Amino acid sequence: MTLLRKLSLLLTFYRNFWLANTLITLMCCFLLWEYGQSIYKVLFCLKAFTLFIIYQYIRSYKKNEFYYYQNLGLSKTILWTYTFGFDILAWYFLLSQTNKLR
Amino acid sequence: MTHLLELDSIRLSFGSRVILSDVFMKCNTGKITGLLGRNGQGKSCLLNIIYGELKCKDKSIRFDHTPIANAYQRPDLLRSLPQFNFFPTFLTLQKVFDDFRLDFSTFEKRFPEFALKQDSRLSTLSGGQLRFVQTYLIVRAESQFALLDEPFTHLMPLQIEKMIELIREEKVNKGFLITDHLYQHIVGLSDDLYLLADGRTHLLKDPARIKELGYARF
Repeated sequence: MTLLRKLSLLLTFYRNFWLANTLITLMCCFLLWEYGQSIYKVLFCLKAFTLFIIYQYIRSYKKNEFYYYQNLGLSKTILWTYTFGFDILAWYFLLSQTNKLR
Repeated sequence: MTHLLELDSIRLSFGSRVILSDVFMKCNTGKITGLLGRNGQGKSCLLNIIYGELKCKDKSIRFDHTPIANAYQRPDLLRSLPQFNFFPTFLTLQKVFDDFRLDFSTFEKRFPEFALKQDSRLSTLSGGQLRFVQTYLIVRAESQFALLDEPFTHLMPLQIEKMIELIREEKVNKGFLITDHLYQHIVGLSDDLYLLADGRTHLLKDPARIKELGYARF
């Protein structure tokens, strides 16, 4: 499978929850701006908890759609690893930028 | 070159209830293998086990004599049509055809009822249309074998005829394992026919055995 094709499918999967994840990341940035570095631990817990909720939601309500990606060569492990990996990196990057600007 | 899919030694139980205990099947490319069975006999479970989606203690699934446990990682070998809608419905028809590397215009020419719908989201299609598109993509997409779980569900008789014609055409390229309760179609379509009863597969040389094994009266 070409990289471009894989990326396109990962983006399709990410469309299921990008909005919720982006809102949570922005909320984390806002909280960091307001309260400073002392709440890093809380922000990490918040992000981990919301990712868990999203994971459970997709696993319960969108489980049939995994067949779509599997039929195209992407396993569940690949889908979760890449999308959550990207999301956590984006979260970390935005928090560090917020901290610099503060 | 023909390819072979073999399965045996499959044992599946839920608690104390044994679902599958003595399963043996062979599918070849260039052939359609039908699988019949009453509700709850484990047909869908068996297809899920072959695909690797359902784990079970004992199983032996071989493609050209090579054991492959998680066939879902190999769409070049096997694709699977489950009995429910599995497409993200926010996608357009064009997008799903691109994902499966199939040409929408060929599909549109053959099935004019879908003409000019390439930019329509799947959510705008009826249940029957959506099922037809999903089945078409699994039947046509490149692979050695395809598992079709109730491909005729939600289809109207005319669509069923078209789908049967399509499967017959495509069997020169791949092997099919099909299960559906519209057994007359399965009997007519299959080169080899199995019936799943009491956890065992029975190879039916004579379709009259369908009655003997208590699946249908005719």
